[in-house]
Amino acid sequence: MAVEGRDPAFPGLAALGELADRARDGGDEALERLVSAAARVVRRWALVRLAHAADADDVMQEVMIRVIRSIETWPAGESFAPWLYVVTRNAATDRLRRGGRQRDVGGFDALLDQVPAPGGDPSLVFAGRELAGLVGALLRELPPRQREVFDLVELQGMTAKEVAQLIGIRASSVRGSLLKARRNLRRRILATWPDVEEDLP
Amino acid sequence: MTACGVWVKRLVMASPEEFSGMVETKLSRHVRDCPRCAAKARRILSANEALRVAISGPEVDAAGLIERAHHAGADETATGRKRWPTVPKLVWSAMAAASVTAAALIVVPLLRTPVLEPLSPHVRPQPLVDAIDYNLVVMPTRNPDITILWYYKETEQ
Repeated sequence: MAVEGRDPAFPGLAALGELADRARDGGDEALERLVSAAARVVRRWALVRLAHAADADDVMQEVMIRVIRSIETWPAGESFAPWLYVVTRNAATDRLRRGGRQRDVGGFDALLDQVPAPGGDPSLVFAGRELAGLVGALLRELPPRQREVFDLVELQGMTAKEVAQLIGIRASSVRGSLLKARRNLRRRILATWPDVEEDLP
Repeated sequence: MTACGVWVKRLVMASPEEFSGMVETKLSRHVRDCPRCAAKARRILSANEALRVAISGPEVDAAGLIERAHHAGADETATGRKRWPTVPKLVWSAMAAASVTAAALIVVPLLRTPVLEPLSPHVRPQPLVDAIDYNLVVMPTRNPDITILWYYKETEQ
């Protein structure tokens, strides 16, 4: 089972900054590479904050259009990732304020189709989707800051210091939120996900 | 609390590296030796993995996004023009000339107004007040309505 370390699907924050610098200096290919990498990051940040897949898609498009249209004037040496994070967070907050879409359509459940079959076994696909649905529902119950820190540190493999720089809070606050998120989420996982081995004498 | 109670508490708070076997810790040794705690650890790690996959989302159509951004920019420019209807150059010139004339009509009379207006005939001059122990110099000005009265003491000279 894959455990921890950097999530290979996501570039580091420094890599995002380098892509932004190259895109600013010109070239359609550089811009496309930036958009390809940044859009997934933005979508994920929005999704964790909003706990709603369709709203997260809308926010991602809104933010990326802004990035594409302003990248040519992006000042050299500026930190791209924290700026991108703030823009995403503000867009997500606006969406929440406006009420977003119907909450019962396109929530975390919409993500379940993306959970692949390990080894192509249909029974495992079902188990994977069922699990993702269960854990997704539990994650949605956490406060947004705990969800956010849990994703950035636990799932994406960033350090507390990196997360602190990204979202503009102290590293100690990041660690505090992470511990609360782990405790809340794992206790519920262990309580609601019965395991056969648990019943062994 | 069962024998594993303490370990479960630690399991719930620990970093996954501490019980996944990636690093050797007391917790990882216990998880290796205890089937119950090993099952719990597997559940936690499986949940993390399921979430990681679900939240990652699919690849994004970067080219499509770029095209949409350019279209959005073009639409906005077009909308911006509609907000400001185009005015023929001749009309602009006439409006500018009218503005200059209006400004001249307002400003020129102001410039011609003397700084000190003559006293109105309705305003009665105030009676002079005696200033004991002061000398007085009377200085007439070109304006017949204005006379400067300079009071001074001997010691000021």
